[in-house]
Amino acid sequence: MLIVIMRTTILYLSVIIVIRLMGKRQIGELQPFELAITIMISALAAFPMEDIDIPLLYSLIPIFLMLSFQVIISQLSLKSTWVRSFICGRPTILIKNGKLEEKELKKLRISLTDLFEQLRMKGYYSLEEVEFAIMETTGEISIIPNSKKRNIRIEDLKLNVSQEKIPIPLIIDGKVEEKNLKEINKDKNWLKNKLAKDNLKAKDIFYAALDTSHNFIYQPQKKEKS
Amino acid sequence: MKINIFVSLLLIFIIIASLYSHNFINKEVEKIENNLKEIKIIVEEKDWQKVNISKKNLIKNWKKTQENLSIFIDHEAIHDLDLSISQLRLYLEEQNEKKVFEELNLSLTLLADIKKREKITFSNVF
Repeated sequence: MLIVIMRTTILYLSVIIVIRLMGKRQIGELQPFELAITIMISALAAFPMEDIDIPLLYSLIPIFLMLSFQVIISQLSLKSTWVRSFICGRPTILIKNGKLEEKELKKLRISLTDLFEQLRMKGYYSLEEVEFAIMETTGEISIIPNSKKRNIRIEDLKLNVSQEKIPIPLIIDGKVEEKNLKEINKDKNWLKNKLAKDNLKAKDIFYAALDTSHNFIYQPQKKEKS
Repeated sequence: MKINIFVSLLLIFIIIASLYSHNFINKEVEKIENNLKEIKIIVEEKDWQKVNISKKNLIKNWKKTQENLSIFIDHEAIHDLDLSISQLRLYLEEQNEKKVFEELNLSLTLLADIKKREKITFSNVF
């Protein structure tokens, strides 16, 4: 039993390292071959966990080898558009200027039912609402709506609005985020003064941050009833 | 850039380690093969005193080889060989010549099979 625990721990840590090194994209944004590699890595890690007759190296070597290949392919894709189009393919226009591209639909083996289903899921219920529909290399469909049918934007109303800033967490679960404090050129004394108005200390705060307008907001920890 | 260097080094390490492990497995297997062949010759000469010494050498070498090989090859193959060598030990103690030769042949076949599995051949790759 201890052997299973040790093997599982080693494989789990190896998979975390490999997935971390492979990059930050979420499952939904992976290229098809990247998704296949992720699934293969999971399968490779799973077999020796349960079968202790399989040497760990039979799993670790292929996993790290796939990481190497993946990084090499990614680098080549960055440097060469030819490699990128060979590995990942190219985006394909399915609707152009509001008209269905029959040839491209047939090439990608996408039926009209599938296409309209995708459009509905994106919030476009009629063909006239869509100017361009592009099938990306990940299999997702991107839509450029018809200008007359799209949602109103702020610029259409000619309103002046200030740019929203990124919210910056300063305290999370009672712990001060010193790196973020440094980012905004403030120190712990400034934070202390902000909280002193309500007689609170940093450890009493569940969450504190500068919001998108850079106003200081905070929420104290809930005190457990004794 | 760091990851590129890491991955390049990793790839080189894997290739070198694979070549080393291939050599290592062959050497370990040959060590046991030589032990077994030595025993075969001594048993043919019917020198059971000398057989005892060779048997002890075999057991000592096999214990070490077993641990080393288990890192690189399927444990089932090692278990089969371990069983065979245990049987051989028993037959040597009983001085049962016929059984000794049978078991020696089996052990040598299993060892040859381990070497064969590690060779880069068409059938192994596909």
